[in-house]
Amino acid sequence: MSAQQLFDYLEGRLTAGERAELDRRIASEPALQQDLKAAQEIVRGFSALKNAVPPPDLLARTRRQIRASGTVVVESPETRRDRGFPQWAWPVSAAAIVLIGGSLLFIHENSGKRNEPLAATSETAARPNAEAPPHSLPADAPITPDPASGIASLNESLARTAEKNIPTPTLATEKIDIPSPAGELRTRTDEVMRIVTASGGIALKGNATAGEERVLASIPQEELENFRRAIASVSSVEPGRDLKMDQLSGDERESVRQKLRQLDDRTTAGGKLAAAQPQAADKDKAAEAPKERSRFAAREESHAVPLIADAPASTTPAPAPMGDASLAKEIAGPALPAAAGGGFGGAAAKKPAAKMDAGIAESKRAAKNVAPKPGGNHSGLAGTLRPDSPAKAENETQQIPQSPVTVTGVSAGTLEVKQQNAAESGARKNPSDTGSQSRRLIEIIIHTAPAAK
Amino acid sequence: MSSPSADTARRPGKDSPEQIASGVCPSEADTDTALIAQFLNGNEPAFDQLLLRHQQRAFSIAYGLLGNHEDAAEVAQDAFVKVYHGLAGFRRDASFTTWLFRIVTNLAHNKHRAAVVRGKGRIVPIENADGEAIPLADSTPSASDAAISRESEQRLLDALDKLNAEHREAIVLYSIQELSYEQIAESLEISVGTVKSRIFRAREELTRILRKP
Repeated sequence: MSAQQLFDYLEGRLTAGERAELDRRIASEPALQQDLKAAQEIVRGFSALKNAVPPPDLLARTRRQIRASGTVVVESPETRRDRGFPQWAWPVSAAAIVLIGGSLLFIHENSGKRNEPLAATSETAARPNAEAPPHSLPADAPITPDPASGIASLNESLARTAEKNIPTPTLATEKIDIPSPAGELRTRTDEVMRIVTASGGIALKGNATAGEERVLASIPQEELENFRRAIASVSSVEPGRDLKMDQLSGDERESVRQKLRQLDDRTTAGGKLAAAQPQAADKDKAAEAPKERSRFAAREESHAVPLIADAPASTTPAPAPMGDASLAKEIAGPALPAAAGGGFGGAAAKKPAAKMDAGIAESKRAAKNVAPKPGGNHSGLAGTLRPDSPAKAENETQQIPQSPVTVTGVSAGTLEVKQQNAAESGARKNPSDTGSQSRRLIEIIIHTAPAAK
Repeated sequence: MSSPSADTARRPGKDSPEQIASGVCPSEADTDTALIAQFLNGNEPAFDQLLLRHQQRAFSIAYGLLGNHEDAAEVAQDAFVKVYHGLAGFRRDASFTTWLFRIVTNLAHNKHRAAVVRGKGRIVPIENADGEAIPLADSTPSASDAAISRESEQRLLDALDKLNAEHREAIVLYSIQELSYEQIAESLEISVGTVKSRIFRAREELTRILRKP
């Protein structure tokens, strides 16, 4: 006897004969009586369940939930299968998001404290009037961040962290152009490499392009003069001597003369700039004074000559009489983004070969050997190739001590100027500050068409 | 799958005035279709009418599957919210009740599974604050019948809770909503033969459970 027959019996689906037969069996079989009782209870139970009364406010509750759910989402019944995301998961997910966000903020704040000296120096250099690091929270800041502002703060923090910690491309602080006969480009490049090595420096040859080879050299400070002399012997035209005043118009010539007089006043006649130079640097300056004048004249005479980077001539402002700092700044010209030029920090650096990367890293390691000067602020900028951010500039100049304002190299197409403020020069009176480990990065361009450069 | 007319296919011998009033009648599918059309044309009260027409059935299915008033009410509410948002994409080749019961069954299934995972089990608040039993049905003719009915209901709910989900869904739709095999097959998206098999096994299992002293 199956349960199905009992239910059919209870629901009146059996014929009269089937019903009589079942009645007989039920009367004689106690087990079947138990089964019948169970079936009757099931039927009664379902009958009760069938009449279950829904809560009277079901419509109102549903309406409230519909209003709370917002916009109508159109979905086909096939896609409406329950997605199995349990309701308890929503608060858990929200709590997890808040926890993760808070942890990231906490980690960021702690990492900011670890880098505090560098960060503070960098940001002070970037914003001299800044009183506090911008990422420091006010004392009364709420402990639990608002989710919206927390995300914004996190984005801001990530941007600042990236700005501080992403390494700055190594930029040459000086550039020297060496013209070469067409068939001797490789030979001359090799000779430059030998000179760099002989000067105790590190040479790195970059990717060669048509008619041009580039060498990035890291030269010890004390070997700089020897290196320059050796390089000058290689070049058929001494750097800085290839542009002539007679190529200028009358007005341009007069303007150049005026600038040269200003420069002479500041470098030889007891001007502030000259007075601020350390003794050793003064010696260098005296030796380079004619070069400076010539090179400055070169820049003056060719308004079409960009500064290091191959920027349009119109980006180079015309110098005007002004104070030392502003003059130096004016000489240096506008800050150019590292990627703007054709130097190692420019277009060539966009596609660095592995060899070049290794060499740059080696150069930076060598530069890092320079111990930071206590209380010193190596804020001098190298030529016109300034890193994008002040923070990067700080990092660069900490590695590469610079000499005061000096024009270090010029050719038909480029002009390099370095500047250093008087305060920094004064801070270097101790010769050990410019110790033997100081190095200078120089980019040497050997090219076959000097007139076109 | 059956056509929309399957919604009106009654099991033999099961049509009664009460069932027609609360269940499916030949004109009900047309009425549902008309209300849906009105709602989709911007007539919001049409949805209210649709809910009022089917809330008892949706609730009773949920209650039969969950054995808990609060959970059943929550499932019915969620089901109608889903209906509200999904009516625009509702396929007219299926009956509204079949679609509604499918939603209710799925929601109840998930809620029951979640309750099992939580170890909550079945919670049946059948007593009020004074410890008196709360009547679960309003059609009991007498106090004794009501007591028997409540006891049977509770024992049945306990027994249903011991079935597997597939058998429970099939027997609830068959015994509470008195849907035809075809309608159940459409709601559960299974074959008619599977429906029959599940109902048979569910009855056997319920009888075995309730036969125990």
